[in-house]
Amino acid sequence: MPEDQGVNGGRWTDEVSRLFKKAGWEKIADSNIDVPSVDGHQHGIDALFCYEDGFNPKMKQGVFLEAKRYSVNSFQKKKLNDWVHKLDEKIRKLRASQEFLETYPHITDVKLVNGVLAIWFHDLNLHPEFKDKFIQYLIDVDTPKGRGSKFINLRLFVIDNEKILRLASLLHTVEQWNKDKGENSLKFYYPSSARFGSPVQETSTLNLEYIFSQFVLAKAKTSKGNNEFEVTDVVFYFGRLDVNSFVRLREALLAYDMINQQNSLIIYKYIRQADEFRKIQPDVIKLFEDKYPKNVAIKDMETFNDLPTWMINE
Amino acid sequence: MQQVNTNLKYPTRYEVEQTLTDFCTRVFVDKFAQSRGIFITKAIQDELSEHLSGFFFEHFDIEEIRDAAYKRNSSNTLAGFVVTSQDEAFDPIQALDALRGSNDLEKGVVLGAIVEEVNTDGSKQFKGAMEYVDKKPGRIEFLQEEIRRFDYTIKPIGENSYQILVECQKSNDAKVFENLVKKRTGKDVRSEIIDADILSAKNTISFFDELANKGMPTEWRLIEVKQLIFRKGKSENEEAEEVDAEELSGITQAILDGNNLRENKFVKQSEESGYRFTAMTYEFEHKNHPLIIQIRAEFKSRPKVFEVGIHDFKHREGLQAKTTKAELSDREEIELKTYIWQRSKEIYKAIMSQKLEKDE
Repeated sequence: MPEDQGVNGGRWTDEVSRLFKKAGWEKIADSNIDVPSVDGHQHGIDALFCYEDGFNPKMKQGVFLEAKRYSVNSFQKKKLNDWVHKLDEKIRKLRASQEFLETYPHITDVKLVNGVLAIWFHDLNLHPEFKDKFIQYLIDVDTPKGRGSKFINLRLFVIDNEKILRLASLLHTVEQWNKDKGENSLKFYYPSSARFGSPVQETSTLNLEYIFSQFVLAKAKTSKGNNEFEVTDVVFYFGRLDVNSFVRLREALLAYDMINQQNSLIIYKYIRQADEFRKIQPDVIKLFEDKYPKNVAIKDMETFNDLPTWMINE
Repeated sequence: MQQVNTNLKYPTRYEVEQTLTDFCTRVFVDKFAQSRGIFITKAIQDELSEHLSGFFFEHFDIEEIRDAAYKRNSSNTLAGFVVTSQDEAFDPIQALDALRGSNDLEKGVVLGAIVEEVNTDGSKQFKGAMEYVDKKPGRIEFLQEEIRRFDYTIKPIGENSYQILVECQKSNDAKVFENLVKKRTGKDVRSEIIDADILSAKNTISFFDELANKGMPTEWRLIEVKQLIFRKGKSENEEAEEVDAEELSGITQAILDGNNLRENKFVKQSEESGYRFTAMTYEFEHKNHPLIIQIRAEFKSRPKVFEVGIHDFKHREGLQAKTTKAELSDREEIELKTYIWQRSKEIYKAIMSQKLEKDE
């Protein structure tokens, strides 16, 4: 059987749900539920989440999760196209269903425009070349198109092994920080936007934009005693490690008030490339020191080759 | 230390959104989003761009957006010109080499080392590269200064005469280099280009007709004219028009039959109405290998440059003659484009000399 259904499929839904819960998302309903849609039919959804959006304090974001556990060998391009289309259709029907809203009354305040397809290829280690093929499959999806305001836009996201492990790595690093420096001492930092009318927000929740961004900003407060706090600007960086990439990152940090003379700056990088990076590390540190933060450190995030135990174990 | 680029300001959300909406194609924006696992459904391009501007991108993502906005791609065209001087000491290679080490270059211009190459026939050519900043005032800051790079080849072709070919990503690269060479090599330096404006409407037709027959090495055979662009008059303001498929097949047939293209009914009518041919895309097949290539030759009007490029290169497979993308090495590609450009120059010269004889 190409797709793991039944026990394995259900287990993967639970595992990936633990990942999103660690990102601060709230699970609205049990896993694998049937919900009534506007067409009178029941639609199965693997899980439904909502989260406080750091970029938009006015409304929570709702996320329909479809969890797929698959084998690389039996995966076909058409599958991905079908999943994207079905998820789009399903969300459109459910968000228009009175019965659905009545079943889950507290989602009336939630923006139901997001879907996540979390695909775990359980044999990926055997097929490293599949990664490029999968990107081509993503590109080849015929995204449902529309014209202007007639349809609402839905945001669908495909998260596969690489991004799942990357997210696990980020959340693990945050957890370690909080363990060492105090519960909730690190908060994700959402800069303000005059264009979108949102204020600066610091929350424990990671939104979808950050999950699909190449860097994530955070501020950590640690007590110095006497009710005084020390702030550390923390950046989780998933991009490449050449000097120009760090210049670009520095410019982003300056633009988003992440370099401050009073604060230390810590950059957690995801890509290791230890030997090559060691050669340029002093130059990279100097790039940031030139902008006068209190001090600069570049550290590595913990990385995973497989799902971390906190996703697997209940 | 790796070379640091100082022009790496992080774009604002507004700049990313505007660039994706106004300067990139929908095809690019879809591909950019989807390859990252992001699908915005039922969205027009503006909406898609607005959503995408909410993510934080790394340096390479940002450069990918900028490249798409500048329409940079990996397939270069070849354009060229010939510089000649009365001065016996005229040597553009030495002049450029001297300029490399001087402080006399404009801000942002970098000249690479010039390397000598010996061809199989014993003739010499010199290769180099240049980088410059193309300023575009009035655009959003993110797109105002484009750093452009290109390779060039200089070949002595006669007394105080040099042929200079530029591997352009944009036609402007050739013009910039032509201006630099003229400015830096002496007052009496003359440059010749393949200039469509000097040709009559009739001669632009003859030029593309001849190019179909003589433009490619003999091991290639013309099979189809894939595209033909023409424009009424010489004015840049006249909109270019594309010849439709039915007329194209007649044009292909006329060329394959070895008839004078100007005798074709449609072409004749176009010529009489003052239409000038400005670009043609030809498809050729290899006589000995299952290969198909599309070549495009075009007179650009702003700036005035004639360029040739490889539009497509495919490998034909199996009984159903399915085609798959094939690759030319950099060297093969430049050699082929150089060949076509040189044939173009000869055809142009022959037409010009006939014109002169007639005028006399």
